Amino acid sequence: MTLQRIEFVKTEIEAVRDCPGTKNHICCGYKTIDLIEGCLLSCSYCILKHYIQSDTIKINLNIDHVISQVDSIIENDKSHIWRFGTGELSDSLVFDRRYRLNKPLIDYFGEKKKALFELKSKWAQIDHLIPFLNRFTIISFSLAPQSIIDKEEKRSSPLYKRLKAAKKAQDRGCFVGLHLDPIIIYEGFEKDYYYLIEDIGRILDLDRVIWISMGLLRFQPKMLDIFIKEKRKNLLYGEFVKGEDGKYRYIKAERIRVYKMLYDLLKNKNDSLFIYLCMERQDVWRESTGLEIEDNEALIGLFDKRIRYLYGGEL
Amino acid sequence: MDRQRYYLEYIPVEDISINDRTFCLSYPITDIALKESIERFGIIQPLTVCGHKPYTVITGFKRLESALSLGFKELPCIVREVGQIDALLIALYDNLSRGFNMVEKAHCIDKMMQLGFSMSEIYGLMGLLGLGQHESIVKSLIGLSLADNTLKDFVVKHRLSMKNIDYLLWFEPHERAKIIHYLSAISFTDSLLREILQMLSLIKIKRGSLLEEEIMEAQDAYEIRKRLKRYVNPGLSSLEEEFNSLMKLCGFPKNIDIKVDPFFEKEYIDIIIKADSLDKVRDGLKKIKDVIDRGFMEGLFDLAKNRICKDRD
Repeated sequence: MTLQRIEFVKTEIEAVRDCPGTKNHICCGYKTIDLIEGCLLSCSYCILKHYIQSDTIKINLNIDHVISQVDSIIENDKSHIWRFGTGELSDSLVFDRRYRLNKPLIDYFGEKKKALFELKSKWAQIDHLIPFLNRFTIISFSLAPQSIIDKEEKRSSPLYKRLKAAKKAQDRGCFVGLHLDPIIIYEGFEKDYYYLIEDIGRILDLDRVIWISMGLLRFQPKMLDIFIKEKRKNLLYGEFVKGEDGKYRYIKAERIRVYKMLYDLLKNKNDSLFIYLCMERQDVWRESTGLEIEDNEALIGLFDKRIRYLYGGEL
Repeated sequence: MDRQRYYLEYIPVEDISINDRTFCLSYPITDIALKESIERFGIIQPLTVCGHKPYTVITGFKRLESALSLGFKELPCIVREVGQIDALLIALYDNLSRGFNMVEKAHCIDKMMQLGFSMSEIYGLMGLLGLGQHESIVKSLIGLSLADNTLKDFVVKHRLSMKNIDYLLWFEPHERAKIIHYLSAISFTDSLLREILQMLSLIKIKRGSLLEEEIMEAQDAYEIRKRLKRYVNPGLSSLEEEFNSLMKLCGFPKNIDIKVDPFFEKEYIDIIIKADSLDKVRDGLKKIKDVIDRGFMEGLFDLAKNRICKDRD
């Protein structure tokens, strides 16, 4: 394992951009903020370390410039209620207690009241942020059964800590987001995910969960060789095919089966939960959720509706 | 390196360390054409040796091997007074122009590592050898250099790519030997071999052992691929088989083709009528209508949705 170096930069690059999405798959129209490039967590399935190809983690200290870019998007495109997040090229919280990078953004979104800011993480330290949180910040955690965390997300927080941190954010008045992504098919995964959803229902107030995403494992072809080299039995258990975007993903019939199973389990916990699929095809949406999502715009529209329902006139 | 200090002399074989392969990069050592040439014309180009009696060979291992097998008692040698690092560089540059096979490239890198060359020097040579300059490639090449001759022979004979060498190195030596044994009897392309090795690796990870019987019983590389695919991609294989049987039932003429996504990901199918007249279009449409009326087209759409109708027959 190579030691990663942290480098602070103050650049004026375009740090805010549309989620790159993926060809012929429906995208939720998320806006990503590249505040940090690189991650300490090194999850086994993560493309980041291969995508960034550097042992240096870059932290952009030019927050004012980042905020001006966010502001410009919010002011110039009022067609939707935009959702921004810093969890695309890094984990949103893993450096935060030490470097306090998110506070200025939390403050900005709290004052702006026109868009939402999501902190997406597998790192359960949010105590330092609690005093500053506002309703326009969504604390989100990627969730997986503990057996997967133990083997594939070794450096991240255990499941119970993530759920406890999410509950803390709810108690502070925030909505939280949950991301079942990547969902991994391995021997006995159904039972583990059943208990995971039981834990979610037991620990969290589901009326204060703004969204839950589901995304089955998918990866670039070069990752397959890495998984084989590292003998990642869990990651390689299912049957993979190449999608239209060139990425490997589970065969469609399996994706539909698993999404439907999890969707039903979650809806049985609380029928009003807003559950979406990350980068999926229209027919997979239809078969697993019964929803007819024609394109990105249709999904973004559902998000707008969900946010308006929860925030009323506040936003 | 001092360019002046070398001289040519005939050295008795017993004064040469014939088993010292410190600077031997060539693989394989046996060269029938060279042996025939030496038998007929003698050694045209002298060997290069260094040190004192018994001398260490720097270049000319194939010539040495051939000459020994022909019973030569003394060999023409250029004697160089050089240290180990310069000796290896002489061996490298002497052979560079003829081009190295992958095993020889691996020997070069391994020997440079052993003699303590810096990584930048090693990467520099890798550039000259047309290799990518990455730690993982160095690791693979050292693995190949240290591997048994079964693998080395297979690599040289089939001119395997780095990717396939990596896959073969991934297996345990006894598994690798079995794979090479089965594959030696058939012909394949590098990309087909890659697919086979990738599937074998997946099978090894999933079930802890190879599917030997599947390889043994196959007649050619395509059949091996098909058999392994049934294990690695059971769903996809079923969809393909169902598609082929449905297409037979449809009985389309040659000018009508149905195309589905190779991975059954796309929700739609392409229906193609090749026509050079209105009559052919009409005939094509009539045939398609007939297939729709018989309910087969619905089956094709089901396949695009990854549904297999079990009771069609």
